Amino acid sequence: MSDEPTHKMVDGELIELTPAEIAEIKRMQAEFVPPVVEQTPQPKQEQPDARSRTRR
Amino acid sequence: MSLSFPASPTDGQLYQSWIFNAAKGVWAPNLAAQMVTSINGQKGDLGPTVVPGYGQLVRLSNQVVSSPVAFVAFTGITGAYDEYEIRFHSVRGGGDQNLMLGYSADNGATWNAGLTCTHASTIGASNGTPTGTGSGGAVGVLISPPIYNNSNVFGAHGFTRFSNPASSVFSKTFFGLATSISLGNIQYSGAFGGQVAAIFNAVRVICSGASNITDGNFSLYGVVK
Repeated sequence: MSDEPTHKMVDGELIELTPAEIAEIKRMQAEFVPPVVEQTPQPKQEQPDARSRTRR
Repeated sequence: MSLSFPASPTDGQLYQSWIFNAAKGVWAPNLAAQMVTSINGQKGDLGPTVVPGYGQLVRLSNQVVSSPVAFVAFTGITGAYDEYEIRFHSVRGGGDQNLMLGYSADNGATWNAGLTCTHASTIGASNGTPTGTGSGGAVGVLISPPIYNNSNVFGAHGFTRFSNPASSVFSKTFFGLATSISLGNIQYSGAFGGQVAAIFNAVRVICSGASNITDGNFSLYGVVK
């Protein structure tokens, strides 16, 4: 599916975008600075032995 | 004066209506009884009228997205309410992008022109990583974690509130909470806040990166003051 902007919804109405609006949307989305995501790996937690819990 | 009633009222009959004829000085059955047809102009089911009380949410508009749109806009926002709330659920996108809020001072003709927006957010994940924090952003205010692509069975859910949109005294602060779940079944939840200095009368929900909104339900509420 293309992510090219073609339409907008305004107060429930589907409206085709003008070339100027498309340009404004692309410029705005390019300018936005998203949150900084820290890729910090978490230490693995020890899992209890499932067999020891089910065998009684 | 004496009244007489029909010998055999019908079963279940609740009342009879009589009318006094002053010219003849007699009472007679009122065959065209005047029935109440409206109360305060309300017809049909005359149940109690619910008047929203202070602090209650009044839904002003609802928009359902079922085909890709670049953004969803609510216009005509006035000072009728001190506080507004946008609720969204089941929102998906063409790509894995956050939702952000944009503002318009000319009812949607242009967006963010001359408006200074700042935002701050904190996002956590159910598996502990990644977590992120963010701030800044002059073109809009972040309101959700990534909404994830349209093949995902989960949609993003959340709300954001903003206050005093028409006030020339108060800054327009907002805050919200939202959550989403990725294809890998990792749930991301975040708190989002920010401010806009200028008066505005329309808002739009738009992806923070190059992506359309493909599905979702968006409602605008006013908080009764």
